[in-house]
Amino acid sequence: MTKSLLIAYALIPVLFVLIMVMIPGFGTWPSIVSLLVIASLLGIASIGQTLTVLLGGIDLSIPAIIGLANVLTVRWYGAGIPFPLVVLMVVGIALAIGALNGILSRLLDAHPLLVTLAVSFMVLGAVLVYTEGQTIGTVPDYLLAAVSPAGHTGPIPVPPIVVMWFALTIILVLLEQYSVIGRLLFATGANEHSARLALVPVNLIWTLAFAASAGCSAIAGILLAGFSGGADASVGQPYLFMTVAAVVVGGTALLGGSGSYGRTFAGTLLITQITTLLIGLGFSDRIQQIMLGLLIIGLVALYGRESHVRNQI
Amino acid sequence: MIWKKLAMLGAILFAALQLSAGGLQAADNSAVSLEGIKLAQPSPEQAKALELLPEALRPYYVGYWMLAQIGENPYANWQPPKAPWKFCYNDSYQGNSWRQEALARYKALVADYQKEGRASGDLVVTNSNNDINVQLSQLNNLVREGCNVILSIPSSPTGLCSGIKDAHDKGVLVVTVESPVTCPDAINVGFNEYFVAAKTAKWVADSLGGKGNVFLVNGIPGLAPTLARHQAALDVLANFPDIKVVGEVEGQWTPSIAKTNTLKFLATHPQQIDGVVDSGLAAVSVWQAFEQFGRPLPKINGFVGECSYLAYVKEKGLPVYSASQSGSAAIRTGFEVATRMLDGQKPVVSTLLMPLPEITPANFDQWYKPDMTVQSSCFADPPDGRRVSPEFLDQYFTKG
Repeated sequence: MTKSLLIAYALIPVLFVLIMVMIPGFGTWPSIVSLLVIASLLGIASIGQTLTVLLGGIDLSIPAIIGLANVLTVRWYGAGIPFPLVVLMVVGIALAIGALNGILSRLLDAHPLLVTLAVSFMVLGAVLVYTEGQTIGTVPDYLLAAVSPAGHTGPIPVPPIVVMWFALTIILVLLEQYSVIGRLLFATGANEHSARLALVPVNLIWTLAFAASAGCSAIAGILLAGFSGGADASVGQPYLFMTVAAVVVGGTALLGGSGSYGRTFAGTLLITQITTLLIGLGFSDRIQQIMLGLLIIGLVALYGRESHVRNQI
Repeated sequence: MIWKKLAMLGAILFAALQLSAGGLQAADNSAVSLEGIKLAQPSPEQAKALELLPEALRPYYVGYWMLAQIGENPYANWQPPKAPWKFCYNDSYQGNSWRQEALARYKALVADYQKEGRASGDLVVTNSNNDINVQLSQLNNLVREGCNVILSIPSSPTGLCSGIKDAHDKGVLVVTVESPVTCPDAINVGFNEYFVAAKTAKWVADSLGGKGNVFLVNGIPGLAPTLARHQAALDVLANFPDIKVVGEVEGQWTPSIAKTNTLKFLATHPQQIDGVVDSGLAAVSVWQAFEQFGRPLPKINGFVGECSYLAYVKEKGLPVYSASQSGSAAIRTGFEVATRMLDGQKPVVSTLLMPLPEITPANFDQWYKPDMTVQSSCFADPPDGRRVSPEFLDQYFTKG
């Protein structure tokens, strides 16, 4: 458990030094901040994936929710709705869709793989119907600044998105470790049957986790609107496998019950560093994917295969 | 009555004059010349196919084999039906502004024809959401429903072939727009990806004075247009010994991806970058990444003529050169080819590849509209709404 956590965190500075050595000129402040911004976008999108994986589930609707939030934010703000209200509406819709993911998975006793896939088709279809394919609109300047590597948070020369991601990470880790809901989450993920017998409100926990997942995806979608400056329903697509990869590289078990967002935080930084190194060395996207696959297999070997928590006494 | 007719005649004359002026400008006073540049060479077989074309058109087909095939006109013995005609649209996707602009224009063109009694009913539209099997069955249905003309944007170069052959056998005219098919029974109308990309790369090289560090932004991996545009950029830049290609970035024609990958690229490439060859929709994202790094803005071409590109160069006072691949002008070209064929004209070959209009400092004000912003997702329309002038299009036909 802790061995793999140590490996993940130890690899971050090791990789950083490796890139510094291999790529002359890397390591300037704008480079570091840029990587942190890119990692923050992936990291925030991966919060939901971590929570659902901890339950032994998975959320395939993350890209669709990101696309929904992205398009609606640009459209509604462009239509003159005040930005805070837009955020509330978009996150509210996302929470409702996410809750539906959780409830349907439990009520139908269907794997969330199926439910979230179906829901994501419906969400993307609905976006296209509602917008008729037109992605017009605009975003406020402060949203652009919030995700710009040149942005500042007060006097700190780091854009707000990075500060936000760090803060979210600390809150999540504290919740996972010390709150009742965190304990219930792990109990449900470790063994749903026993959790039920111990009077854990399993259905509620699932609903909350999937709602939180969609909520975080919506935040990522809103931030991406600032990042690219325009709306695009397919903007979330890269985040389907990348969020799963961030979870796995961090060392959270896909079977549920063991892991933490603290690990995904490390996984996100590692993936961002590796893809940057590969771009720096001039590898194409396809080679990057091959390398990422090799990294995942290598890390699985390095972390060691432990049996599922449910089978450990 | 007579006044109305006279006014209409006047309007038509005026429009025709304007069009020919605009068209000639695009053809003759091109801002970028490929003269003296070594480009891709055809194999003997490919060169033979080119001989089907009049000599004046051959330069516009350079590198065509990377994206299309040229054959004889499959409708050479076709007897066009009498007006009114039933126009149909076999679309493969409608989820972006480009497709919406194309659809709206096609509807408007058919509505105009309807008013003149030359079209029967509204445009019939199908949309397959990029599922080629769905698109094939929709195509078959359109043929059964009695469409005379079907414009199609196929989502695969081979998947519709059986349906196109069946349509052809039944005397239905199928014209693909913007994405040529490999089967011999369709008329394909599009632009030459290789030729247009070669011009954009040449402009970047020219605007750098033939010297400096450049990187390329590529499209979606594996697609024919991506490969053709990429090859064209490399071929052109190879003519400039003092231009160094320091790397490539996958933009995938998606601004958010282009920005992510450019930031990673800039983080690992501290050397000065003087120019970027964009193969589509990435220019503004790339500039923003440079801005956020606090690095000087490179020269970047536009490829599609997106409104955001025009707004950005206007705001920053940057040198401008973009091809214009507006959806509305694309569908209009397909429509014009189809109606010329209905009127008895015969295309000289099966695949009509054209140049794209160019947005340059000289004509910028005709393209730019004050409501365009850096966040716009529209595409600038040619001032005359056309890709090429009617006179230019004449060269692709023999009168029937």
